[in-house]
Amino acid sequence: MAPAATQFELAQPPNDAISALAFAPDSPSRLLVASWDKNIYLYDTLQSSDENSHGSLLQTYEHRAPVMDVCFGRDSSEAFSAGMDWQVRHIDLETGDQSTLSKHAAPVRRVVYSREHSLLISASWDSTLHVHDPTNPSLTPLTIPLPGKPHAMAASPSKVIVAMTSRLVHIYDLSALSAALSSQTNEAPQPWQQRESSLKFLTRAVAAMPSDAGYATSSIEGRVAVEWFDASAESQARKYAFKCHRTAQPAADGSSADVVFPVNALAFHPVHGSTFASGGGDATVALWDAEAKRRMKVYQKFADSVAALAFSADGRYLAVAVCPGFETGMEDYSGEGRTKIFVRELGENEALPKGKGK
Amino acid sequence: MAAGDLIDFDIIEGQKENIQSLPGGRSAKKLVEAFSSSPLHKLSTPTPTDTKNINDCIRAEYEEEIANISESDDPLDVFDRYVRWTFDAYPSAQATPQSQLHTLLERATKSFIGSAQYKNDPRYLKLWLLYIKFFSDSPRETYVFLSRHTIGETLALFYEEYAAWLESAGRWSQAEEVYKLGIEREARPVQRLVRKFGEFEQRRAQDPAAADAPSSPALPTVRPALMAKVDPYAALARAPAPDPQAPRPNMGLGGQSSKPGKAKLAVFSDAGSEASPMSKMGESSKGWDTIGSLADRKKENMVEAKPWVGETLTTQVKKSSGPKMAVFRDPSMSRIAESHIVIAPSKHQVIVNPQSGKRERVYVNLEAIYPTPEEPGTELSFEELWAANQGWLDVCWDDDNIVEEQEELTPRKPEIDLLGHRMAEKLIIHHDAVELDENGAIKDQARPVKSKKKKMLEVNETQIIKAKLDSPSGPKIKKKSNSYSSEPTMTMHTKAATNEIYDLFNAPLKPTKEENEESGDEDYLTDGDYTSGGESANTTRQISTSEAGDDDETSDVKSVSEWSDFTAQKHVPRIEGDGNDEQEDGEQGDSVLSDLIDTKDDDDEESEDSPPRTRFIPIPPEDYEAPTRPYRDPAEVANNRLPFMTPITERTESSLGLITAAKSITNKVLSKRDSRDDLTEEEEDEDDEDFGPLSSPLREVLNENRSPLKIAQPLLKKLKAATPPSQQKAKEIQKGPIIKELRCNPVDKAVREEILERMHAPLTSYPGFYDHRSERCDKGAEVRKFAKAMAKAGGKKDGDKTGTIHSLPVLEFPEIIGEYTIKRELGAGAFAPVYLIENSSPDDDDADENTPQVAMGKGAFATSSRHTLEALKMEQPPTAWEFHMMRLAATRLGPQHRATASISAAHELHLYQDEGFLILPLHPHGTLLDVVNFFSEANKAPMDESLAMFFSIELLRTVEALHAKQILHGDLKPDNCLLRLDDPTSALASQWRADGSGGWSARGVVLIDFGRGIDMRAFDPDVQFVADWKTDLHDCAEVREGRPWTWQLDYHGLAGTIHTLLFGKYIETARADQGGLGTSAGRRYKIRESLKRYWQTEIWAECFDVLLNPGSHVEAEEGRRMPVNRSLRRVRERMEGWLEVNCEKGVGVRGLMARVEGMAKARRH
Repeated sequence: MAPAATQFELAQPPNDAISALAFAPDSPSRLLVASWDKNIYLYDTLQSSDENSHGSLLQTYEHRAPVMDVCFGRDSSEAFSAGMDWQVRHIDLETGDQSTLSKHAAPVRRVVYSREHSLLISASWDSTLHVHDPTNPSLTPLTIPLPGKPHAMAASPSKVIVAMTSRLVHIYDLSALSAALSSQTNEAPQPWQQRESSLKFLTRAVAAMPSDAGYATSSIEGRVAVEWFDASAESQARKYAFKCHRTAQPAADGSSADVVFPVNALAFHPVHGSTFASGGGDATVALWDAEAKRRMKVYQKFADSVAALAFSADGRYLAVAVCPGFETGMEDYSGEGRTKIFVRELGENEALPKGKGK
Repeated sequence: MAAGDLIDFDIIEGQKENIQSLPGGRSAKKLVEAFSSSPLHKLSTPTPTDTKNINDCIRAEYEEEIANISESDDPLDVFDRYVRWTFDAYPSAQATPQSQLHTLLERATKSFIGSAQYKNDPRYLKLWLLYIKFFSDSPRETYVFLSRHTIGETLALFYEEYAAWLESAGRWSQAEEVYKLGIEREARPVQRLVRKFGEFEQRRAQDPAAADAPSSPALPTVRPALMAKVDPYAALARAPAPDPQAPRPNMGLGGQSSKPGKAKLAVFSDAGSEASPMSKMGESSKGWDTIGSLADRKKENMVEAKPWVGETLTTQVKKSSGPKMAVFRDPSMSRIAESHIVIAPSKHQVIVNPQSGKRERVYVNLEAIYPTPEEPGTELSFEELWAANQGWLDVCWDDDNIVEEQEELTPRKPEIDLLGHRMAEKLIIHHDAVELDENGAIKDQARPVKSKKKKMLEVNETQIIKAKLDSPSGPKIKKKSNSYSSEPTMTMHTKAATNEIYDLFNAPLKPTKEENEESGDEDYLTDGDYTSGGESANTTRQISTSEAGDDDETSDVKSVSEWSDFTAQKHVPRIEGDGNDEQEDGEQGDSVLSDLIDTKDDDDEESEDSPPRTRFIPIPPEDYEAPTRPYRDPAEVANNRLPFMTPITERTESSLGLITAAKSITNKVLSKRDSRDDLTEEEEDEDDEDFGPLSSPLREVLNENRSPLKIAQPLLKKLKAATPPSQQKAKEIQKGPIIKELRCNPVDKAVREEILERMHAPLTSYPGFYDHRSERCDKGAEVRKFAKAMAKAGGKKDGDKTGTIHSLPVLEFPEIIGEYTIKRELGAGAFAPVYLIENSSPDDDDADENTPQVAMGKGAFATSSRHTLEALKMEQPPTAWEFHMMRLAATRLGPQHRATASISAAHELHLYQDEGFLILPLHPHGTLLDVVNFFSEANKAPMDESLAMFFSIELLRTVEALHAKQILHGDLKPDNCLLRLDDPTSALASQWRADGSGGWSARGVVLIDFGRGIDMRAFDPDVQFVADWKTDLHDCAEVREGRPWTWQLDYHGLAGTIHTLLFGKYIETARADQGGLGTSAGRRYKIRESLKRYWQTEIWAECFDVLLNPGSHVEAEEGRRMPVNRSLRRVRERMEGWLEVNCEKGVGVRGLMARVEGMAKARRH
């Protein structure tokens, strides 16, 4: 393990697998964790309750069903959750008040909040997106039908990327969504772009560049693709995919084959926009430079599969959710006791792309 | 009632819009007649039928008149009246279909085209004009046509009408031309024509645009004028263009007053010549013989009616139905389908990187993620899987349920493991799910519901899988089952995967007391429930007879295939037919078969009767004690033959609780105890049980469920069958050749198939044979691609830093512990490229495989120990033949035989539907051809005679041994003789010894490529072969000359090889007799090349003589027939005698051998 100074494990982790992590937009230490144990956990990562542990659990917010995703709202006092119970909830983190913002017809997989457009977008397995304006609850939420089940979603300052089954990727323009929402038209806005994933296998995670230039997707088959919004041929030519999160299997079963793990989580560094982290089923987290197409770092292996990643708003911390993966479809799965959250404090230049700075 | 004379205009008034105007007007009286049905009811509108009937009668009268027209004085009159009547009878223009005016006019006009009598009859012209007015698609053309035929040439009416038409079309000048022409021709009545022309001129004067009108000749000269170079346009051009601004001066009445410089003059200027269109009817009417009916002229717009026979509808039609489909489809589906890539778990779970050849195993369980890979958009994310697993997906969160749900959820925490609780909840939840489906709320959940019916059928398997998991199946079994799951067929796989997902949709179900609960829940066989439903179905099974079981299976055809293969093999025993019991069995199998097998399986059965049994080759488990009796031992045979149906082994603790299952277990135990040999069968059973579980639980379940019922008896019988009496019978029947024909093509696929099927030690009994013929491997292309890439890459350096290490394709076979990494291509045959492979577990097999081999008398091959580097031959199309021949050779020769070392061993054959992977030992030292080339390069001369003789002896001995065992190699040539340097480090005595002592036995040749091998025992002793391949010089004379052959093939090959050794060039033969026809014995051949005088010419000459003319040496042979082994031995012994004496002359054989070894060593690096 890395020295405790740079990486520490949060005390009082959730009881079951973690589905999402989110750092507060205005605080580097507020961390929301959505878990399959039906709770959302709010941590202060820096405040320690005692000497031996790091971070403290501030509050939990119980849901009816496992929480699939969580994100902060406009500030660190509100959050939105996506639940297995089909609901998108607004949570007042101060008071703990929960209100149902929207209801899908199937579990809600992802929820993202765009501060730029103050839009909340939820993606559900009922193959719809719901678009809300939390600041203006009088508006009827916009429902956008999707051609497939969404499995990952991410928002850049101006776009929201929805990755679905059948390798479909839709990119919506947030301002168009905003306009459609405020005009209260019944017509669902068309995606700004429809794409196919560059990856052959099911998309696992999407992360958008804070620079609004593009996004990265990962698949269940150890690959990450970096693509650009710009539809021009030359921009598209820049897109690439690479393999990662593979380990050579020890010769236990007599083979030396590479085992290809799913890439469960992607997160772009909020400051160094070209840097992103990927976390895979092989229990490692790697930092990549999207521009230079280089791997910057691979962190030491964790005990279990990396389920979620989040950079703090200032880019100083990287939270890593570790829990046994259930990608093999195992039946008797329990994340209990093995679910952990690590927070890594990044060195000054740790996430800085090479050749820049110094 | 109006008086007869008075015309009731009311009637007409009422029908005005239905009356077509005629140029000449209409008779009001006729109209009234037409519109009043009867004189009595003139006011009432006639019913259409009335009118029709009357008209039909009149029409019939006219038609009769027309039929007799040739008798008529004035045939035109008939038509004239007929047409006029038609106009009257059908006043409505829309009524043309009824009036048939169109055809009538066409008939009328056509009838008199050539008639001089009517040419200038106004009535005839009027018919034409009517035709033009109503039907002509291009009036001008018709007018021209008339003019060509000089119809109405002298009638003013023609000119007037034509000019009027031209005028109406704005063709003023042409109209003028026509008028003038008419006046010129003094068409009657001239006065009227002149008057009309005058009026025309006036109109024209008022129309300033008139001058713009087209001025091409109204009646253009005939096209033949092209040759006459009379260009009406040119004439026009020469004429000063009329001033468009200035109105044309009135021409007055003087038709004759020609205007100088007028374009029309062009028409007249050539008056005497061909240019006059009107007068030139004769020749110029060519091509104008007929204007054709309207139908004629428009025929390209019509689809001609054709007989239907043989009509092929193009598939293009289907395309148009595409959008129609889309109407019913979710529009988004099309997009989904576009972007969808089929991820077949079987194919993608382990990927071999095509560039690097490195194997990559996808950690994710693709079967779970892609339950139905072919169906776009059905892949599931991990979260979905787990949520489903946890039952979350079944939960309906509709608001009205929330309270209820909340309550239920409390005990649902994962920590709580109380089974009963769980089940209870589950059931409730399923109620919810059903509600939800009725609302159609969730797409996801709708899916399982859709397949509800199917589930009913498949009901059993889920639970059986559970049972499997619970059952103490060893790790070995697991591995095997994995292997099977990795290469399932498409359908199989889909189903399996779906089932697996369905399986996942249920919380782990401890198969305990669910039956009680589910009994009340039978109506809701949704999702999770169906496991328990399966249980209930199972209960039914218990009491059902085996026939009932059959029925069930028939109803699910898809699942049957494997199973029916399985039944198909029940036929096999019958061939070897022992015992009545057995026979009965077979019949039973038959009936089952007929129940089960669809056409496809029938094929199976016919083409590969025995292969099915090869599917169940087991890997011996650790505790497996190999039967020590040879495979042909009747006891063994009986076992091998038994249907491998009883899949359930020790499963007492499983939840099945089936009485029948228990029975089968008892049988099992019994059989085990009774006969040690049953182990084999048991093995197969186990295998059988395993081959399904992951790939297709369904199939597996069917087997399992049936087996107790179906198998119990056969099992017992089998035990009997293994008793000595039936053994003897079996043995008797096995004798005699398989192929009875006296003349056949031994390499014919059908013949080979038959041999493979019917040989007494079936293919499957060979250790190292792994039959996957039911599966596809899909690795071959990859390997070939890799080899190609490697070849291309050649010397190129891989400078890529990011470092896809050039990794190599890896072959992994289910039954093999190790894996084979393809290194490079060793040789690229047309049909069977050979690759160098690395065996990851070189010596593991020794203990496992070798020992039983020896014990079973299958031949412990001197060369059969496994090495790290081996060769892989990929035959295309895949066949087991070569493997069979190699094993046959090794078996017949026995391990102790010296020749065995000279025959390449076949380690393993993995036979897939699309590929065959034959694993061979690697002989890295090169071929005899390499040796020959090495010497001819180094010495500029062929190898030394003594070395050639050494190799010749080796070859002769090997071939002789093979032939003695009735095995023909079939493809002897230098490239198929590899250098054998078993232990190059061992000291070599300088004295060569025929017995191989002094290290010489470790040197020699290895014959490879038995792909054309022939097992003579499979044929009648008097068989004669015919070859179907393209012959060349390397084939023996008989083959080349199309004569039947047998052993000659090898002799010639041997001669060719020895020739190459000796001369360094390929053999060429010449007739040595006087030519002529001769019998096969009478023809004699010799080599073209002459032996060096310092060689042992006598020995060599005899050698070639025997090899090239074996037929003449049969006298000395046993039974006076080929093979001429005695002669071969005589030759070899002469050679050996000479070599023993002369081996140390000159460099000596040892020295030469050292050079060869040096070459071989150099070759490797």
